[in-house]
Amino acid sequence: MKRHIVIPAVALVLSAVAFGAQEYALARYGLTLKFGEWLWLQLGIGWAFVLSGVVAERAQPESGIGRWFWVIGTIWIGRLVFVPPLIQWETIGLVALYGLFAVVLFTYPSGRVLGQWRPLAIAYISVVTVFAVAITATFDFYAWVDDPVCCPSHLLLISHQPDLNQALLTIGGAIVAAAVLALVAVLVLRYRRGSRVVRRSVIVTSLAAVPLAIVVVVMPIVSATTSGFSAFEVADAADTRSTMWIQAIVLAALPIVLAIDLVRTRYSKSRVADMVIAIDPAMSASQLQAQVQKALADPSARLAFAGDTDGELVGVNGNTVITADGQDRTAIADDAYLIHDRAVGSDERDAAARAVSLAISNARLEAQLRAQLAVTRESRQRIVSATDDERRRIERDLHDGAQQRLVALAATLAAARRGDSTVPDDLAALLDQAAGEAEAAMGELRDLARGVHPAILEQAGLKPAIESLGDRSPVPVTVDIDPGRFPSAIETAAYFIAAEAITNAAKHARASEVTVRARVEGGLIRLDVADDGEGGLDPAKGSGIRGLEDRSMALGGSLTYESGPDGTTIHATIPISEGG
Amino acid sequence: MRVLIAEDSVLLKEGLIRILEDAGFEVTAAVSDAESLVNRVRADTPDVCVVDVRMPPKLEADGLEAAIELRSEFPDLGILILSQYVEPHYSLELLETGSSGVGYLLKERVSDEEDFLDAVTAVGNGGTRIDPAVVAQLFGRKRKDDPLDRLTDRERDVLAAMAEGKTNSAIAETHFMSVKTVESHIRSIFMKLDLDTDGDVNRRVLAVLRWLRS
Repeated sequence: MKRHIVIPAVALVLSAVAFGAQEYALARYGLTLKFGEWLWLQLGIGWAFVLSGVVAERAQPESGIGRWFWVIGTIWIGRLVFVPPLIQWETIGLVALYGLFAVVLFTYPSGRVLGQWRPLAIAYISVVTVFAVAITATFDFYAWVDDPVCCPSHLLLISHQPDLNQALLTIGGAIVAAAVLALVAVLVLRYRRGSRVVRRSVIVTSLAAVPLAIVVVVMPIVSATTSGFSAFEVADAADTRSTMWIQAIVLAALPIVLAIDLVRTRYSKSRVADMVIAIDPAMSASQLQAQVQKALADPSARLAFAGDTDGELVGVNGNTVITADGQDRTAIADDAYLIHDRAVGSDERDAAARAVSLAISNARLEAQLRAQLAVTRESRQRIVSATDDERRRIERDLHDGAQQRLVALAATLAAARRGDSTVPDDLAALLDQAAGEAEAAMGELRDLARGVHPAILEQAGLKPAIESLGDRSPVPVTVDIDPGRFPSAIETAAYFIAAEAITNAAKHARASEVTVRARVEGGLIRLDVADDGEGGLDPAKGSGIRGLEDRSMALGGSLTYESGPDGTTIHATIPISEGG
Repeated sequence: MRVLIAEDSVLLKEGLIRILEDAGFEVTAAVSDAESLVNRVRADTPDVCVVDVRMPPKLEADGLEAAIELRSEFPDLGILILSQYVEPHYSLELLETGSSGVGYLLKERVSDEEDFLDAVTAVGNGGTRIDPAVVAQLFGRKRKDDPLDRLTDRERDVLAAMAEGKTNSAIAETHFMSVKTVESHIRSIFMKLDLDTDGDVNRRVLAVLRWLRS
């Protein structure tokens, strides 16, 4: 981002100006620095904030922390540009920024102030800023500058009131100290109540906050007019130098520590990516859950699914799952949920949820496929055994019927040829008998052939074939079929479905009429066979309807039926494809 | 009378040739597939064709299709269809090409030479012949409140005979009635069944068959 170049550049310019201003002041007013390194320390703090801010923002741009830091850093450096006695915002900047640290640490790691706390945060910062302004306005930092040419003192001075100023400093310092102590208290509370995810960020924040607390609470105890607030005092004490250094180190460390943590946790996003890669369609639900826990760094994370009762959620091991305090529930798919610690970032949570949702729907698809395969296999087996049964039936019918007659025929003809012993008149009788047997055999074979596969179905199509069925049906059949030819497998299936339905209607349901309707619409044949019988169609009793379902399914279609005391209707839908 | 035979079963074809020639018919040609049938009819212009429903090349209803095609070209050509199966559908299709000179017989009817030859002659002369088995099947259809129940036994017999394509005099002869009686039965039948009377013997076959089928 461009600003990650611009901001350090601006900070650099400000630093140079600050340095230049200090040199100018020293020369112009003949001043000496109390601690020569003061400016460098201050610049160091500022730069720590600027650079940490830039790094943090690059690592996790959606976190506000980075922005806070470089803003703080830039202001920190900016406030160092002062040319006594005119410009004195150094104190304002210092005090205000001290106040800000507490807020920033409160909001780590998101850098966002939660809605309900926002008014309080704004109020607090406003108060601290007001104090900062008041403190500056009531103290003449440069009273000791003896310059008749210049203005009486710095521009923001309203009136030099050392006692008031002292009071303001004390109160203001107390407010800031209280805020920092509150921060510490909150951190302790979060630690005790929070999950491992929360505890982690508390520890990190504490590394910065606790030293800050020490400095901020200790500082007001040490004299307010020491070098913490201005470089140009004359008082000289060893402990104030060390105070200054401690202050500088603590302050500079604050953003650096937090930035390092932000950089490290950036990799949590790649943990989700790793999880996606690791997810395997064959994974069980508990394995998936383990992956999620790893990716979100949240051991309390759970996958939950809608249970049998309303509102109940069931976990990967079948037990009930509840959303504990401090946890949130995110919906993954239709009836699956991810329960996770509230502190888990929304991006990670969403990414994990999406990945799990994919895995779940994959698993579901696979389960459906397996179930479908099982159904198909069963259906195929039924079709094969139905075919075998059919063959057996044909063999039996042939054996018992036509074959018997032909045997009798042959015997009769043989007897005729022998010129059987008795009266020749019997010859005519024998031949008549033979002819009769032959005719009967032909009739039976004709019927058998029709039962196996009616020639007219293949020759003339579905409508004539079903009309032909109607001719021989014991129940009146009304035929209402769209004309046209279809692939042979489809015509065959439709024919046998209608035939079975008509037989059932006549034999079992004692219907008085049957209607066969077939329509072609949208690349499908819809066959409806309705009768007005007693119903009673049941796949458990006899395999008739099952066989028809199998026929339909084998062609990629479906079969449903309603059967009740008012009649039975069978609906078959078969798609028309070129494969036939 | 000049007859053309179209039959793919060799045994039956030879049988037909022998029966017809013995009875004095002139067999102009005997073919065994649908295409040859069409070509030979165009070449020989016989009076009547005896055609198997099922023939090469498709072994579906090739014979029937060829015959129907020929009827549009030769409206006076008599067509006698032979079929293995009792299928009213084919009769109706044939009748719808024009009712004169149309016949449908079961193959086994061939073994009854007299009936068979009679049918060939009738169809060749422009009459209609429908196999009794077909008519019987149509009679056997189950109907709601069967209107046929309103007919007397004699009337039913006359109706069946009409459906087979018999003329009134033929009916009178075979049923031992006078022609007048036959005619009055017919009027009664048509009234009871709410059918339109039409003098033409052939057209009434179509009407009756249609009625029986509906």
